[in-house]
Amino acid sequence: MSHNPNLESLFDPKGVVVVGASSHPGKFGFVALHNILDSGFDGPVYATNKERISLLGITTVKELNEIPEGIVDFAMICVPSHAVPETLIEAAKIGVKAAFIVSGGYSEMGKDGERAEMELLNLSNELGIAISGPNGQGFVSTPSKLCSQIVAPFPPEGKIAIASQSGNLLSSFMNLSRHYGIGISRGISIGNQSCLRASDYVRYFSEDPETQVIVLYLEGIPDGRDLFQAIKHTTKTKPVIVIRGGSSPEGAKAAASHTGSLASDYRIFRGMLNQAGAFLADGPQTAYEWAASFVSQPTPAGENTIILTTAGGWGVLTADAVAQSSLDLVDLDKDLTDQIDQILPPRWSRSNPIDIAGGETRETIPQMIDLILSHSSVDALIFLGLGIQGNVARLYSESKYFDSGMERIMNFHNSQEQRYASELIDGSEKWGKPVLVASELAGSDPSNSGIEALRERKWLCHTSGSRAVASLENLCAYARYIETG
Amino acid sequence: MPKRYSLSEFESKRLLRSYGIKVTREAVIHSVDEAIEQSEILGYPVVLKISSANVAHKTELNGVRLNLDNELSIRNAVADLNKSVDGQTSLLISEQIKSSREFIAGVTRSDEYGLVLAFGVGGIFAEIVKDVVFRLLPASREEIRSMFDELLHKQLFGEVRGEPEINMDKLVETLEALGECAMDRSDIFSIDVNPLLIDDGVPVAVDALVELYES
Repeated sequence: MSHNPNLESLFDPKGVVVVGASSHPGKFGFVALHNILDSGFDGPVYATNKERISLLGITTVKELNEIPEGIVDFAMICVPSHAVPETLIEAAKIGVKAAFIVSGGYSEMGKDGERAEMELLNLSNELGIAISGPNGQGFVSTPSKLCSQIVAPFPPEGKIAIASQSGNLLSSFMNLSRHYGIGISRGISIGNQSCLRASDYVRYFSEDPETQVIVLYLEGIPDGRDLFQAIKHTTKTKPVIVIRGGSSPEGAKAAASHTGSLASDYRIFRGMLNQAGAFLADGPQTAYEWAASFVSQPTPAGENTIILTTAGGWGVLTADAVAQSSLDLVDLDKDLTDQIDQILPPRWSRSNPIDIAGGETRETIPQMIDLILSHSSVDALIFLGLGIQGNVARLYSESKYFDSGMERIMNFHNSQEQRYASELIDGSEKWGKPVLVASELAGSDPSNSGIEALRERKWLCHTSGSRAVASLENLCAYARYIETG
Repeated sequence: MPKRYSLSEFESKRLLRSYGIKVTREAVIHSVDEAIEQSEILGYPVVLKISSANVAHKTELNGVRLNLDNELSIRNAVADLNKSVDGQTSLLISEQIKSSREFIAGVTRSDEYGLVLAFGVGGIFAEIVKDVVFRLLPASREEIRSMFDELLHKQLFGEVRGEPEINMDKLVETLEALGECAMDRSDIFSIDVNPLLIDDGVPVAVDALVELYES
């Protein structure tokens, strides 16, 4: 089950060459070189161009053979498809072990393109070069500060790896990473998969020390059995989350058997993922939230969940979502109720969800968070209500009546939000229990002081309680999966 | 793609039984007298069906007669079915299992994944309800057991309408045996057990269809 060792030259190369660099900022050959140089990759970077030109601070070479052997082990190929085979042969001579082919004009264009892909596969085997793409948007690798892609953005560093059959879906994921602050280790647009397939990247990520959780976006599955084996092997140590596009709900139309007509690609795929211990997500937002939870949250010991809310409606909806899930809305122990009575005024909900009903003083919420997490009957906490005080602070800061009195309260509210964020994260770390936070402000107003404080600590704020429930459910399901082997 | 053909229901079930799957007790009959004789051995009520490799979906052709509990009803049913098949096809008489729950179990070969095992809600509405879960073969007992949790109608496994809860170990064994049979025999393209009924908690294959590759 080991990975293709040449993939190390792709994600962590010693040196890079962009083949087909361009001086035109609108062309792939420019963007790729620009992104590699601008992202701070600290190995040698070369570029080829038909003219010898000065480009972004380096002088291009005309031919690959002008680069001394053994300096560059990765080539980013941006030349037209007909020039690719010759490029690969020349690249192999100077020690290139991995190549990403941005160029299109392959199987997506029909029969001739399919033949060209067969040729790539043969060249890959003959030359010993791992080939990604063709027809892909490139990849990012934050441990090597390498942004080898023809699109934006470059995400923050982190432990989530993604392999995507759509370049745009990869971009979506990186946009989410920038928005929420929980970063990416490797992200690759896998293109037509003529040589390296999704399963090859899964095997690489499985053994990659920089990666803790793996996300895949898949459409066509060239070898379902191989993918199954790669995922199943991986989930023993790292969670795998899959988004699937374009899968047919229809089984075999002319099937003689009921089983045959029910055996749709979608149903078999779903069963295969469950059998392999992977999670099926409905889109990039969901996949990101799950992945971000896996990399930041501790492993839950069980399903006993408490919802802590500062206002009724959020708690009610989130409790409904818990009731529909495999989580348990744990009953409050008498001693926990007694201790809460010491903190909250009598109007609190007296049941789970714990609705503090606006009864907070300066210390209430931090005390409640610590009390709940410390209790042995509780495995996880969902906190709702971050950002309320931050909202008031914003209102004052934008007020036409703004004065020093309002400023004092604004600062108080903002500092309280920061305390809540810290208490939630520190509490989770101190007690080793998941703490999931939800507020629509995570999407609608990320500059809110509560949301910002959470983001600074690389802790996810879900956009709704039910989405937090889904993430927690997966944390629990994966913990059980690992336990039962 | 090699051509395929089907075993008759009787032959299909005989193959499944050889792998330890419980199937209905039954006999192929060629006359009314034989039918009556067999019914007495099987015990009333009995079921009479068209048994042909070419008639896959019997209920759609009205080729099944249920609740036959006396000689007269058997006589009528034999005459009736013989008329509809022009006396060209043999008939099958079998014990009648009383079960309000109907499941489907099967195996088929997928181009992308190879042999897959299926289990779900069966009966005549199987393809409308579409509550069927798949696993790639080989599948461990735990992987088979985990299929049940994925069904939308998993309440069907408990006590239903006065019938006891399903013996889940037996159900796992049945599915395991189905997979084993398909993995042993590279000439099998698909196996369909529909319905798989529950007799006193134990699954019984009441109808089955095995599709084979022509050699």
